[in-house]
Amino acid sequence: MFSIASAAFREGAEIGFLILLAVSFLKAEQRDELLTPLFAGLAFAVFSGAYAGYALLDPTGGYRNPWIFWAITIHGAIFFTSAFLWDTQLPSSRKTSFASAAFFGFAIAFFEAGALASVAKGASLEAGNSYPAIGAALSLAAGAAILLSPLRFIRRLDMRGVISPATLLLVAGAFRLVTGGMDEFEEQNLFIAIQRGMEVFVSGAVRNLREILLIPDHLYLSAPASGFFAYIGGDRMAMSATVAVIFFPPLWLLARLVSAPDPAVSGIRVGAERRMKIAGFRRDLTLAGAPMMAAFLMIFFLVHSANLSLNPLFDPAPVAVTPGDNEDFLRLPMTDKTGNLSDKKIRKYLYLYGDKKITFLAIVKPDGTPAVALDECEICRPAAWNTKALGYAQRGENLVCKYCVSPISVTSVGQPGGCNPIPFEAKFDAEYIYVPLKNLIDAWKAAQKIEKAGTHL
Amino acid sequence: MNVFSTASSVRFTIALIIAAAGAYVHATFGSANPYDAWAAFMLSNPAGIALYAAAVLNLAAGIAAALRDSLRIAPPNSESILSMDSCAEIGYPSQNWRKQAGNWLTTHGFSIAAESESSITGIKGRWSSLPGVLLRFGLITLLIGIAASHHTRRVESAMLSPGESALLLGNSIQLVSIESGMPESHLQIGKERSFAIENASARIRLGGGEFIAGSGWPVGNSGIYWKISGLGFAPEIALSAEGGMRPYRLEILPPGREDSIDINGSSVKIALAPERVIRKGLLSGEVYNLTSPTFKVDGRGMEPKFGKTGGKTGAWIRVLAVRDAGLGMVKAGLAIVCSGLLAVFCNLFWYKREMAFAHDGDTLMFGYSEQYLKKWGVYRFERWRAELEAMRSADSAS
Repeated sequence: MFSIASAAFREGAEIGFLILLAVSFLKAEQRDELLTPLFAGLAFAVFSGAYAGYALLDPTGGYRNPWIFWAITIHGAIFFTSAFLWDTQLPSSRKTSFASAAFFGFAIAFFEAGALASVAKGASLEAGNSYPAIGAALSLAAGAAILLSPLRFIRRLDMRGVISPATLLLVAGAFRLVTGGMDEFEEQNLFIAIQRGMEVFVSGAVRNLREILLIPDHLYLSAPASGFFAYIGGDRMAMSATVAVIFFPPLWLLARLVSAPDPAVSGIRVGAERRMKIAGFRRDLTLAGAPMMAAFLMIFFLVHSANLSLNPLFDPAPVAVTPGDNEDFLRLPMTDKTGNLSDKKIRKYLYLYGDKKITFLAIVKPDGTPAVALDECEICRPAAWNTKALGYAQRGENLVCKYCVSPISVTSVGQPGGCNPIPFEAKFDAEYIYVPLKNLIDAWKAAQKIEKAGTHL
Repeated sequence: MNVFSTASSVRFTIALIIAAAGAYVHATFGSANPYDAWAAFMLSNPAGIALYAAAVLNLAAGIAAALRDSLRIAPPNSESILSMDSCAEIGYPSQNWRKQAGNWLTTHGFSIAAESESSITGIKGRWSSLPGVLLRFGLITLLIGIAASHHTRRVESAMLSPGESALLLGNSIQLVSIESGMPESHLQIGKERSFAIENASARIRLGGGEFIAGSGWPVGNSGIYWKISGLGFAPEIALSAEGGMRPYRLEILPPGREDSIDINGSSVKIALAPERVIRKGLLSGEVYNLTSPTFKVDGRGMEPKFGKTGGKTGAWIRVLAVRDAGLGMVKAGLAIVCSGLLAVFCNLFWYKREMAFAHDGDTLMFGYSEQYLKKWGVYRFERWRAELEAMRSADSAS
């Protein structure tokens, strides 16, 4: 129940932040009459979304896919529409402005309320009572209340020139892209969904174009320009296209802002007045650019974390190994339940030497030969408490030192020096890697000596 | 509402892109192959076709608008000058203003584009919209070509060995000879595909003449595109000790792939057999002799006999015939789009700049606009204003 309550609190806080932003904007524009439709849209969103989520949504099926589709579409529309509202003010028409405010309040809360209700329903069914659902509702309200509590101080802040309709939508859209959806409801965040969709689109478009031109990819007949098409239809191009698309709104608005010319001061005789006018203009420019920079940083963080999740560190847990009866070596199978070592993924092993743990790794290099080494670096070693930063992991085709995050080419594993893991000799055949215990222990003892000598970073 | 303005507007373009993106996002839900579902929607569904046609219309209207703006430049007036990026007014009672303004424009590299009794305008980069026009034209050609290809393409194919004939898309062809381009041997390491034939070709007799079709770009002949889309071995096989040899076309490329033939109701799997196996470390590689291939059989006790025709293993190709009214347009569209994309870079320094003068009694109003980099245009105007005021003073003095 705690997890659903914390998720609800988080969602409430997010909604509260966005409402705080909207209210700040409306107060700055002195359009207090739009607060009512804003909160009305919000209330309608929470109640109708919760009802829809509770009644219709099943976290594993049902209307889940159309729900996520419309969530992505509406949040994306808010974000991308901001780029085209440069110089646009709030509509003067009462109907249009009321409808816009109500829709904004609705759009920022409806889908999250529905997702939360669906997850709470699942938790309540599991628990056999309605306490999780009640807890979720209360936590949602608490989260929103905390973020809305500064509302009464908003009047004292002069937000004129800081937030405009364009920047409000930009920040709200960017915030929703970064935080949007519930991890508990959706399998991945929105950016990764966009990136994967772009990947499918780009590869499909290239495949389609090749078929139209009658030069499709073939099992064994080389097709003309296949390298070129493989490049433009590949993951990198899709990621580049996604990044270009997602960065467009904040960059476009920033460009429009900084391209505004300095005010004409040639008619002002007094130098101090001229300088004051230009300084005031540039101060206003900086304030107006602050929300755009905030959105840019949010999107930057989103892209970075998405990139990390698409290229995660692979750090397998060590498998304990012991020598066979009357054997002075460890026998590491080439094929075990995790697969065959020729898949070029790192494997880690643990040998107990008295009361000491020796962790070492094995990996097959591109030339087909396996290499073994201690899971320790000769150069850098984290503090004793920082065990998570000790040793190596794998990202893509490289090993990565978890402490200094240096990528190490797999081809150099087994060679001493540099950032390479500390190597030792071993033999192998088609079925096993044979690690002499003497070699393993000697290498480990030498590493301990280096540690005691304090020559590590 | 002006329909032409709307059709050529950037907002309409954006709306179309958003609609197309929305259709794609919709296709990603509930479809195993979202791109194919989206393409089918855009090219076959009435709503998709309307969206597609609207995109073509938008591009065409954009071309018309760009050419109209370049061709038709009206003499300025005070209203149009007030709407420019920068404008100013100075007292200028002299009636010599037109000559002075014209000289000033010419000196600063402007071409006189339009003038009237009381106004004159000069322009730089009048035809700078041409790269954009070229790009839009290329996109129109490409889009129409893709649609035409989708709706008119007809495909037929046949597996042929040398000397054999087939009827494809109403044309009778005979395979004269094959140049398989196959390497003499192939080393296959692991499971990653590395076998590739670079230049397979075949001589084909069609009507009274012959032509060569290859595995690369298709060749056109008699309104049809021809291409080799498959290649393989056709060894002579005797299914039983008493039976005679006859060629069987086997799809066993790349090496490692299996095909099956039917012997007395049982399926017998056949594949290329490696000549030898090489090991290095954990990796092993199989060497296949492709000049004199040998075959391995998984016949569950049945052992067909393999023979060779004239000492060589027979071969087959798959000839693909395609009739497509849109393929030529697609190729032309791609070429024009690429040219347009390169040409558009010119707009970094070649874009429209307009300076306009209007004289009304004792005052001279002048204004300046740049198509891009408007901030620098404003600074430029401030410098020129000082020049024009000096010009006015010099004219008055003289």
